[in-house]
Amino acid sequence: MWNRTPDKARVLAAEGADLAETPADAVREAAFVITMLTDAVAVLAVMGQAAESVPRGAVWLRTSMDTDVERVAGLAKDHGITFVNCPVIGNRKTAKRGRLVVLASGPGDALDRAQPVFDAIGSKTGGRPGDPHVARGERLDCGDCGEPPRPDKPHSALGVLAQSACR
Amino acid sequence: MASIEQADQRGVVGEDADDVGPARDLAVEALPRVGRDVTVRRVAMRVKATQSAQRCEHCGADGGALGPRANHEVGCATSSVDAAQQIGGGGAVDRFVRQGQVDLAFAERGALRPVERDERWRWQGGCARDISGSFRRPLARHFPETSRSARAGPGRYRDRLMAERVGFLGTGIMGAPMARNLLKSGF
Repeated sequence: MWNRTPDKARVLAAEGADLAETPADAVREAAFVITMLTDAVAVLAVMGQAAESVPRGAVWLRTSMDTDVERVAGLAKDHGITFVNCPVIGNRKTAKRGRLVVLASGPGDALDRAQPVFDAIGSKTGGRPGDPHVARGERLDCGDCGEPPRPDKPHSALGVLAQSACR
Repeated sequence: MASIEQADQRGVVGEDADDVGPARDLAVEALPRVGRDVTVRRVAMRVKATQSAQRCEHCGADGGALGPRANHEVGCATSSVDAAQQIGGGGAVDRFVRQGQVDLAFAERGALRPVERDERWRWQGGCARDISGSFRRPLARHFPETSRSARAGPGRYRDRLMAERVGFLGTGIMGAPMARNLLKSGF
């Protein structure tokens, strides 16, 4: 793993993580690349350094909650990286408990492959295959009927997610 | 739940009475981590020496440094207290295995974390039979060819995935706990 401030990552290195000096080193042997960065600018800056080193077949999971998905997805496409947009809903406390809500969208097989990752970081996962832009927060309508989800009417995974996110 | 309390008693076991292999040190210690709703324990097993690879009596999986009986204990027959007696008997071993069962139950909730990464495969043996939940994940990492996922085919994505690495970029306020949970889950 890599962090802009290495001292923060060293704590995790003591727990068994491999600390990389550069983003490229962090992703070199990875089957999944997870970016948890502030915004799209940071994501583009960091992945701009690392994209060339992402192994073939790896899946990039972008978990930050900004809305500028197009440019990030474009970077992934330019480098032939399978891209899954999976912003997470929650705070530091829920992240610590592994109870984030993951709104994942992307290729169906990539979502299947990434499910254990989602299970590790979150308690609920929902999404829609094929559309990496769906999980930007403004399209939490039901995947089945198209209506906005209601707490008493969790039609689909996204509905359930919206329900839990409201609580 | 009584066996959970027994884990507070740290035990070290010396020679293997059945002479299955070299001496093993087993240690059980409390893990002050809270899972979903429960306090879980951490179990460590240190193998002092290695022996030639053997195959599990049940599934034929390569047992690596552990002998087949050890596999039987920590791999195949984790639900069997009898297995504890097979690998050497003794109260401490028995407690270890009993505690191991408790931890395996918690492992299914994703709460298990071996003490050291390098010891994970030794502790979890080489047999993929009858292991359920997340306990199977690290096993698939080290014995992918014998895991259930390998036998089940491409549909069992969960197990296959655990053999893979995650490159995590950004371990800040949110990233650090996420990365920590990935580590705990065996990535």
